[in-house]
Amino acid sequence: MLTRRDLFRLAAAGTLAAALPPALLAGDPPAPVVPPRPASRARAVIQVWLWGGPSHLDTFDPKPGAGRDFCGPLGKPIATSVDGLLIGQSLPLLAQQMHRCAVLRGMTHGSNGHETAAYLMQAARPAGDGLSWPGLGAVVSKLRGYEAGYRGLLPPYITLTTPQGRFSESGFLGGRHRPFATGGDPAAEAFAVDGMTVQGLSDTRQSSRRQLLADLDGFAAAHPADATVRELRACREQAYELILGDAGAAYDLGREDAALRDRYGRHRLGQSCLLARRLVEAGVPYVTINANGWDTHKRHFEAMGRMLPQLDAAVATLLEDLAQRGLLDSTIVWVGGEFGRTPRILWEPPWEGGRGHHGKAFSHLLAGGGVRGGTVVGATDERGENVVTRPVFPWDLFATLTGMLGLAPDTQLPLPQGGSVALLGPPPAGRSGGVLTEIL
Amino acid sequence: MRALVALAWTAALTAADAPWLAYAYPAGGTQGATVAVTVAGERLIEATGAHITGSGVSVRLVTTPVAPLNAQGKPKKRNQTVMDEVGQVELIIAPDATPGPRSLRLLTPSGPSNPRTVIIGNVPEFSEEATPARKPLTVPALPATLNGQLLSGDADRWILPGKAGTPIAIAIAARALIPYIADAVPGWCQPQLTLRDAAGRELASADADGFRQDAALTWTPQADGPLTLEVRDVLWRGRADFTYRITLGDPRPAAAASPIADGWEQVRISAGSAWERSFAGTAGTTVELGVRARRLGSPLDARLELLGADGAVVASADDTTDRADGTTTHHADPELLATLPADGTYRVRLSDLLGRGGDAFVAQVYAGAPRPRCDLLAAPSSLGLPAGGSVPLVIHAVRRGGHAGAIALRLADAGDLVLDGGLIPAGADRVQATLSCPATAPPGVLAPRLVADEGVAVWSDDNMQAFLWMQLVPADAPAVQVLPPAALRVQPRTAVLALVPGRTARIEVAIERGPGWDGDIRIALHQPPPGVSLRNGRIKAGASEGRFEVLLAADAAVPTGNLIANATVSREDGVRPDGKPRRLQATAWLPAIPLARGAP
Amino acid sequence: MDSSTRHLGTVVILLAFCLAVGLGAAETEKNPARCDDATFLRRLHLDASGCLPPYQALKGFLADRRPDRRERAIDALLASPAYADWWAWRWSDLLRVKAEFPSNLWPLGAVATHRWLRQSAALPYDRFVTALVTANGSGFSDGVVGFYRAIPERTPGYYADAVALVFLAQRSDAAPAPAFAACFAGLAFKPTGAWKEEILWWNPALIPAGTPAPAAPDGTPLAVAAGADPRPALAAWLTGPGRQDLARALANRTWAWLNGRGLVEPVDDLRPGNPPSDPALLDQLAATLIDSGWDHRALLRAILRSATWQAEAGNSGYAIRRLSAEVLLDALSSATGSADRWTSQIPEPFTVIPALPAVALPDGSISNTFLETFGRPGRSSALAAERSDAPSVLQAQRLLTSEQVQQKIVRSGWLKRLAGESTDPADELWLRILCRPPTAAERARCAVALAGGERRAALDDLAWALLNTTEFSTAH
Repeated sequence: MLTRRDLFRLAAAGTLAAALPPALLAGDPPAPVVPPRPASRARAVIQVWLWGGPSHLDTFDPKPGAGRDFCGPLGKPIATSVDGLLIGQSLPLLAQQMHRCAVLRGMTHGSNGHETAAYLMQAARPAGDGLSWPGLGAVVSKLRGYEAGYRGLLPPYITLTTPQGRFSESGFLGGRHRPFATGGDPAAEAFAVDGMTVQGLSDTRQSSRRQLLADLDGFAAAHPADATVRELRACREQAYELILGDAGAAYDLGREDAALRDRYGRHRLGQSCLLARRLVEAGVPYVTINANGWDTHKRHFEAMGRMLPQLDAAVATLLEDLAQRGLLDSTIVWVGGEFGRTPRILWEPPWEGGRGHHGKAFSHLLAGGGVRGGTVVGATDERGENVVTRPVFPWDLFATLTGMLGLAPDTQLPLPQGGSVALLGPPPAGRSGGVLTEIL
Repeated sequence: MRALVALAWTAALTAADAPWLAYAYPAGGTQGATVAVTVAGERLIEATGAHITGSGVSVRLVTTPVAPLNAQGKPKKRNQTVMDEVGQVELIIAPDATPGPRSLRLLTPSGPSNPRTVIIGNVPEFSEEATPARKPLTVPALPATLNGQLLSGDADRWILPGKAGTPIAIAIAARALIPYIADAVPGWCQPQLTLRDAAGRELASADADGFRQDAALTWTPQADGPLTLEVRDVLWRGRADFTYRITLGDPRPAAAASPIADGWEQVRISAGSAWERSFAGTAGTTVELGVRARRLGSPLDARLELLGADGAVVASADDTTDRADGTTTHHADPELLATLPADGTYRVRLSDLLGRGGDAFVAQVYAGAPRPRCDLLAAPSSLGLPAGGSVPLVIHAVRRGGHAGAIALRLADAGDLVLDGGLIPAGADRVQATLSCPATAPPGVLAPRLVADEGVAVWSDDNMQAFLWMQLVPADAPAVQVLPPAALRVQPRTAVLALVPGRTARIEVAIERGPGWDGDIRIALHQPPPGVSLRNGRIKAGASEGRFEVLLAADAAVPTGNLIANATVSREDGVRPDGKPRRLQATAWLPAIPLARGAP
Repeated sequence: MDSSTRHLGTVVILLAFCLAVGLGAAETEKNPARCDDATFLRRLHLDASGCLPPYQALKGFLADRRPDRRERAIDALLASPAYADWWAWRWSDLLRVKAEFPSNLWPLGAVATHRWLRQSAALPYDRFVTALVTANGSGFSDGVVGFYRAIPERTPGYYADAVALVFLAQRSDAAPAPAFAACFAGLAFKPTGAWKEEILWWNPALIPAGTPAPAAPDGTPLAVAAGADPRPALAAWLTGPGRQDLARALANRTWAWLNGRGLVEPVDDLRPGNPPSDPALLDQLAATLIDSGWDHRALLRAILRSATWQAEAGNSGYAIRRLSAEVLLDALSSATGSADRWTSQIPEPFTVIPALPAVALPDGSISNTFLETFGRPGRSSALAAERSDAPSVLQAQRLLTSEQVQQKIVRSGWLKRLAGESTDPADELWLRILCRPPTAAERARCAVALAGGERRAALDDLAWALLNTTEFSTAH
């Protein structure tokens, strides 16, 4: 519950203390608040959320010198299209796209709990300050969605294919800015977006059902003046327009070239990336792909053997595809999870070669939307356990992304009980390394 | 398969290689019965037999655990659990076997698995059928014991006979079987019992028994008729290792009040008030205060305070962790040692932290001179010991009452076993030691006792809770399995290793190798004390003696305790399918070498 | 008279009659007619238990001709376990019972708190409030402690705000008075050796120097020894004789739960500057609660028996409103006979609940897309505004075409049974889904649909249509 004193406190940016290495607390220069960019290029975001926390050592921050207890079988990182930059050996296709990407190796927040870390990464606010802040997707839905003039038939904030369910993506912005989850599996033969089609019903039958409903809804006819009844009927009519109209075309992956679908990879992540590209083409400003399964406490390398090639094909093809269609400049691609995984491998049972949670240091990947490719921001120590230069806190990333999208930091977000708060306060003391000017 | 043979020559190097028994189901049987028990775990494929502690029960391995195969005969895609290998043992229970818990282990070429509890009963037993579309099993008469397994989405139902006016006591054992499941969060199966009448109306339910997580409830039906007992995890979780046993029968009479030990006093706390005792003390005296309340089943969450004459708190304690009581999750009984700062009158105050009180809030209190004493635990309780070789273990000391001295342990009932390094240094809470046996020791399973003046060590196992914490869980008896002789045997000639900061110390060793194992030997230190590192740990191929060196850093304190090291040798054994040479490894542990301070 | 004159005469008489009735109608708008029996029973069960009336109970009620059948139905429902489920559901929103962020009760704590709420439906309201305000103990075994544990910002000011909001339905723009916040200055948590278990206790050593003596929200000093826990005295003040705030707050919330809108709106903003639309009624309801010995069932009984609540829907009668998320999902499930399966990935191994009504969910973290789409609150705060019962296009889409609704129809046992029979299915279809018998016109339309083709397909279509009527998704 927000009171006047909370507004005051938020303005002064009270923070949650977290265990941080002293080196990161002392001597950080004060970071400037992002000035609004008059001509921001980014109009859409494709967020590939690797739910569970992907291992940074095995992806974008390899440490070959640390030995088997840290690298396991993935001890030979590969060269990329950027001189001097090596990434994990299981990502050869992405290696060829690195000139388009900024690798953020200095990510840190210190939290190892899934829900708290997910909240920190997406809402960039400390937990427990009295409010449930919205994630970036809900913010874009609010400030670039229907209320800002978006006219598309598709919802402005779409999740492929199910929401995370462990925290509220829309926070205090409420139900209107929750993401629309398509459900289903884009890689399946018949991908059915929940609410767009009903399996096994012919058009004739659907239309006779519509007639039957109209005939049987005597209650609506008996209360024509009632506000609730009128609103329910109006929503139903609009829903029919959506279902029978062209909005569904964006979801139809059958319209894509089969060879391209193969390059993305005939699996959920690959086809979701392809679908995300189509949705962005159709004008949707924010698409989140919730990729599950990265919480590999047990038999980590077995899972990586399956999942890294999928990630490689999906994201590399997405970047190439967006670039070829001239969409990369206006679309931010953001890849990462809520934290990284412990560099030291746990070999004993029940882990059998597993990695735990690691919120002190991890990596995210950004591309498109005005990101300067071929850059690396931040560095970790020789085992990837701590950030030693240029930490990137969630606030820094959030401020950078909102700046790239042209969202002014003092934009007011309304609170359910009245009043409002600014989108972005000043950087929290000791928990900001500064806006990512290096990649702009 | 060849790689596994190589491991057979090696005692389990780390927990990563040790055979793991995840569960046994049904976890017990009644006197006179022969029970087919499903066992499952990992690295059990090479199991050669089974072992059970105590007399009156024998066990034999019927089906060696195998990884399940799919229709094409390939190993089924693993579902990330540690219980993929499933086999069967047979429990043969004598009609006069003593009821109670026993430890079941599987024996493998690399040593015994961890223990799993099975409970011998003396009333008829029933198990739910294994098919998914189970009909609830009707229990014909009481008393009875039920065996069940909560799989995902399961709620087990049992139909019990109810007689008007006859109370039924229902108690479930789940944590009593498996107190901690490493990758479960919360870290154990916590079943909820719900009793319903024939019409489906809920009569009673319980998900705990006071402060113990294994639930219990008693119900007296008003009328004759069947009752349905529903069992499910309180959070609707389920997995093959969520096994349970339910005892049904007459309510047991209330346990007799615990005897009051010498020097202790029994008190009762009333709501909102505290118990106090004054005494006169002199400056510099140390007093020990202790409470036994929760340990005796009292709901009291005791808080102890020592107050000076002016009412100021000199010392206080609320919850005192007791490493010797690893299965209890809330150590609510406090203990403290305090040195009195001045002459004067002092007060001991005992109260309930939450301000409650009443008839049930009893406690036994000790306030007096310190009584130094110590609980000893040894882990792990399952050890694989190659004849002629050694195996490491850890001996823990839980010191109380200011106990600070060195603790010397020795073996008893141990045949030819030798304990090296069995001295816990003064002030230390644990020591790494080794057990060794001569090369002529016959194969078999021994149950040695480790004893000291302070008491007998309880054999335990380190269990993980919720991915993070470790607790020592006692086993009823150890299993030291004497294995065939290993391919490598390394004996240090140094009896005691004298260390000086900044200098290296040399350990000479004698080496015996099996035929074909002529390669280089690599020495490694196992969890060396801070500041101690290995130098020159390579011994040339073919040598029958050698040396390695150990360096103590210049700024490090001379450590106490023992040095534990192992030696590894490898050899080629043919070619793998991909053309690369196949390498086998043999590892041997060295007996523990006590450390001492050397002359500079 | 010839026929045309007679005709005209009839028309004139009819017109005059209509005028008279019309005037009478204007009169009866002030006292709208009572709803019929079927509407009454459906409304009663939805409003006071969150479920559709069970099929057999509905048939029995419609056949009941006793003059006091409505009073009996009210009493039976209030005495049933379904009411306790409803009470626990409503209070789980207020206590923010959720395993994860931001309440962080953890699954064991959420389940324990929900169980306590369900059991405490039997307590008089003053003892219920006292138990929550004075709670101590372990979050996993003493679920009552969940009230304090769910407040993530563990400071005295936030605890004071929560007590004021939840029990007095008051929120203020300013920080709570320091003397009121001092009632919570000593609340402390200690961990145990069980993962994420916490024990709440009162620790006077935590109270900073200079903290004022504890006082009630209105400033009345509480007679408490220095350092002692003031919460029992605070609870006594809240529930004491002469104190109306507690009763008015619950009376207003209950009115809103049963009528869609409180006498004071928003329901958690009771203050002098926001008066009730009917002050006398609110006072009367508060008095009913207090005089009955704080029996909240007596409060509900008074509202459910009132002519206002039993009025016909629409106009100035009973307000038509969309069913809340959990209630609508459960209505879909019970009307078709296919329950929902719930999973949660928070504990390990995962929670899998094969069948449970949404209203009985013990944990706000256990949810599905349907509930999110239909406005179930995220329990980030205790504000009533977090729940949204407003219609939306996505909701309509979900009812019209989602696989979930289609599967419920496909899996329905009674539809399958009906498909195999040859009797007229209209009665069972309407009774099970809309909780009333079909009109003649509806019966005829049903027969037309059946004549069209294959019986099972026609039954599915009819079920689908009835489930999508505005009548089904509203309380009326």
